[in-house]
Amino acid sequence: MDEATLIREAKKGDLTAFNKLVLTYQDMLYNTAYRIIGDPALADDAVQEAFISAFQKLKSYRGGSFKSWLLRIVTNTCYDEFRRQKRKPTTPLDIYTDDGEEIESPSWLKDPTLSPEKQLETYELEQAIQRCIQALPLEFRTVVVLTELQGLSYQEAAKAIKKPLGTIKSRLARARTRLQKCLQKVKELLPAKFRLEGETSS
Amino acid sequence: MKNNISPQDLKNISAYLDGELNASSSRKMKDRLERDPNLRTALDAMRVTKNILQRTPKRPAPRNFTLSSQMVAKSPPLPRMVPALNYATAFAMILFFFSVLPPFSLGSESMAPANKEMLMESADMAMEEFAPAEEPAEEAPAEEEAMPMAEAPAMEEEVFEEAEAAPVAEGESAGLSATEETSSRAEAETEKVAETDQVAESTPFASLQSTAIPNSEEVPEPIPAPSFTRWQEILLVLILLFALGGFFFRRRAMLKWESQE
Repeated sequence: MDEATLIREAKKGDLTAFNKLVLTYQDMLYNTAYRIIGDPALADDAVQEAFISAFQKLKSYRGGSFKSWLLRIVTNTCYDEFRRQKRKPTTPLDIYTDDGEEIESPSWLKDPTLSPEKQLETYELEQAIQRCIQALPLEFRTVVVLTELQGLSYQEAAKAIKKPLGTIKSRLARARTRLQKCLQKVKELLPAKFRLEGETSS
Repeated sequence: MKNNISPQDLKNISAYLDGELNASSSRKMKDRLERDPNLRTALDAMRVTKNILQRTPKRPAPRNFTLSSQMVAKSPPLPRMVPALNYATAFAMILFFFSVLPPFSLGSESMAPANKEMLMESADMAMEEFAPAEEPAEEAPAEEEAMPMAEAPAMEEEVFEEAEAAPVAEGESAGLSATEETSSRAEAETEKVAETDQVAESTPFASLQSTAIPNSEEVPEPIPAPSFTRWQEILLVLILLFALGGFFFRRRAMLKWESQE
C-alpha cells in the first residue's frame, strides 16, 4: 500500500495502517526530537507522544506533505517537553557509564562494516555537531534541524513552526553563522576533510 | 572580514545557498558574489557548515514506536450499564442524603403516609423490644448501677414523642390504639422508675451498659444507636448494589480490554 492509502485507512481508525507509517517515519522523528531536545530519553518520550497525538489528530490532516505534518507535531511535542523541563532538573547530554565515564562509542554507532577508528570519528563528529546545535537558542535550533537535517523547504519549515518565511530565512542565516563559529572552535574534533574545507573557506 | 557583511546580506547568501531566492534576487546575488570576495568567502563558509550538518550521522530510533489500541484509546469501551449504574448510585445517594436532612427527614410530621405507617411499625417494634425488658427491671439486683433519674424519663419522653407523632398526623383508630397502648406502658414504667430507682434496667441501652461495665461507679453514657428507617435501609442497600454493580462491570470491561492487548 502506498502512503496515501495508508493515511486514508488510518483516518478510518485502522491502527495497523498507521503503524506502517510509524515504522516509515520513526527514525526521522526521533532524530528531529533528539537534535532539538538533546536527550535520548526525552526524545524517545517526545516521539511516542507525537505519534499518539498524530493518530488522534489524523482527521485534521488535509493533505500535503505528511512528513511536514509529522515534523510539525513532533516539534510542538518537543516544545511541550521543554516547558515541562523548566520545572525539572536538567539531564546531561553526554552518555555516561555507571562509573561516570563517558562512553567512547555508544551502541547505536556500532556498525560492523566500519572500522573502530571510523566509528570513533563518526561519533566525534556527531557529538561536536550536537554540542554546537545545543548551544543555539531553541528557535534557531528548530529551524536548523527542520531545514538542514530534515531537508524541509523554507515554506514547509515556516508552516511547521507557524512563523513567517522571512523569520525562517533570518533565523537560519544567523544560526548558520553561529554554528560556523562553534564548529571552528572544535574543528580538531571534525574529520580531516571538514577541517580542510573550513580552513580554506575562512 | 565577515563583519563587513550586513545581516541582510547574510540572510540572502543563506537563502541563495538553499536556492530559496526568487529568480531576480538570485541573479543579483550571483552578480554580487562574482564582484565581492567577502560575500564569496561567507558563502563558502556557509556551504561548509551546511555540508557538515547534512553529514551528521543519523541516529536510528532506539525502538519501534508503533502504537497499541490501549495507547491511543483514552479509556476502554465501557458497557452502557456502567454510566447507568453510576447515575443510579448518585441518585440513590442524593435521596438518602435528603432523607436524613431534618426538613425532609422520614421522621418528621410532613412525611408521606407510607412512611408514617413504617414509622408506626417501627415504634411498635421498639415498644415490643422494650416490653421484655420490664421484667428484668423488676428482678434486677439492687446493687447494680442504675441510670440517673433525669435520663430515664428523657428517654421515655422520646418514646412518647415518637409514638405520638404518627397518630396525630394520621388520626386513624389503629394508630390511636397503638399510641394509647404505648402511653399506658410508658406510664407504668415511669411509675416503676420512681418507686425502685432501677428503671434504668428497663431500657435496652442501660441493660447493655450494665452488663458491659458491671459494678462501675461512673455514670455510663448512652450509646447513640443508628436508627435508619426501612426506606433509608433500602436506599443504602441500593447504593451498595449500584456501586458494586458499576465496579463489577467496569472491572470486567477493563480486564477484557487488557486481555485483547
